[in-house]
Amino acid sequence: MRALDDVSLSVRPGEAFGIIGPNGAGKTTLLGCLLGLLRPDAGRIAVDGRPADDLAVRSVTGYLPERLVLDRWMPGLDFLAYHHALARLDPARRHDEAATALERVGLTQADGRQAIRRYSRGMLQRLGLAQALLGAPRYLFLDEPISGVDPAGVILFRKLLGEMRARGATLVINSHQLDQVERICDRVAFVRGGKVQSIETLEAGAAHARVLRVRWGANSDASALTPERLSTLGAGVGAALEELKPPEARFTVADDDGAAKLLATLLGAGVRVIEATPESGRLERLFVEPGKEKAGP
Amino acid sequence: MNPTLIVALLQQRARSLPRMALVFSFFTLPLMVLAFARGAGLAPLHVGQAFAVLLGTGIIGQDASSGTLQLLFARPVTRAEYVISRWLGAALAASCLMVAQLAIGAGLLAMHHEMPGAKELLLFAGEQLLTIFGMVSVLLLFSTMLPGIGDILALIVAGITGQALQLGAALFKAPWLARVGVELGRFVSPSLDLGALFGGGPVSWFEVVSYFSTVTLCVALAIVVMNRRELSYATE
Repeated sequence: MRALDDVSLSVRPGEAFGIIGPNGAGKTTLLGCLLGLLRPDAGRIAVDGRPADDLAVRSVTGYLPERLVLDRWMPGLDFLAYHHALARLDPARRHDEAATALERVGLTQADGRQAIRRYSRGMLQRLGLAQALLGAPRYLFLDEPISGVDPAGVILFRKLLGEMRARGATLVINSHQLDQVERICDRVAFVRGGKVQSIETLEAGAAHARVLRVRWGANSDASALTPERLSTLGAGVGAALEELKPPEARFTVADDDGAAKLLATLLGAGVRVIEATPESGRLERLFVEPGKEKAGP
Repeated sequence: MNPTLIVALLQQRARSLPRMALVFSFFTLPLMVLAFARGAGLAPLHVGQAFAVLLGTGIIGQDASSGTLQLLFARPVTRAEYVISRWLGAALAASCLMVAQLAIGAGLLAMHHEMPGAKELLLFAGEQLLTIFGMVSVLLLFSTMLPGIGDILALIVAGITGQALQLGAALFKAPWLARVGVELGRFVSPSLDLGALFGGGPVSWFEVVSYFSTVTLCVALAIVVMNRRELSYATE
């Protein structure tokens, strides 16, 4: 069985690059190859012109694996100090940098003194990110970085990754959390069956049709809320009414511009729109296999 | 050699309670024999091999099975560096235990006015040291190929096979089979008889070369196996 087949892609310096795809698509295998942990039977992987397993590359690489397996007897701070040493960072700053890394991910010094076996799933993930960020790496490879992290943690992770990008770091993120991928990444490779099916820039993604769920307040003009009227209003700006369940309706819009025009038209017609949310993210459509769009109940 | 990896190995071993309980037993029981029994000499202290087995079992297999290698090898650490650090770490720790035990044992013998000569002590320590490094190198090789503590099982199976072959050779009067059994035993338990080597008689270079080639081969093969290993998320 081929885990990856004819994969060809390049990630630009300073870019946040996402890898998405269904389970078993080969995303983690691809990440393993990019890190030099797995060796492809054919082809070449270069990071900054060097082989992926070159020590010079690894000394500027941070990695957060999907299944974070740690030496569970180690206290969190010792674990960070251990990875600080493995990364060959300045021993004189080891203790301070380990403590700072711990605090950056929202863990306390008391947490750091606890053995890792006592950590919750979210704490483990935070510790994993802290070790990946040690030494401000130039390349960050993150496999399901926010898996098991609470909403406050997700916001913190996004902030930290934003800071890394501001420093010029290149991010490669493998995740099923499409909304987060959309918010963090510049481009996304969609992998299915071991092949890169498409590489999407997220700006261009805005041109794809999607369903917009519109909700209105009680003080809306009742005459504008009939199915016929809403259909006509939508059709005038290229949107199609899919479903009406007062106080909300679902419209298919062609793109961002279509969504803006629809909202303006509805407001102009006396519909007091209080909420408008896309029913699915821009990337979800990639997961619908050709010919299976209508599948389901 | 990477001191960080050596320290991590020692901490990892020290955190294993059953392992430490066995090390403690093998450290104290022979000393108790020396304390209470007269005329035993250094014989009860022939436990270097036990220290090597206790500290060397699962030396790589346990890391491979737990999945920690993936994160480790994403760091600027070569696999050869890792293998050699694990080998040296376990062998040096076992050697320190052996030397400490020998020092206490020599003190106990001195109290009984049975203190061996300096040459005897040195030869004993040297032999134990070579046995420890040899045994850990064999475990190291098996551990790169087998998950968890499969290395100790492989060692036991190979040792029993060697003995069985020698028995079979005696039954079927097949000297070649006996030779195979002896060589297998020599491979899984490399050691050097320094007493014979420095006893004034002719030096058996075959023994010397056999020991060092076994150790070198085991460490080199362990590095080759690790270098060829691919690290996926699958636990083994």
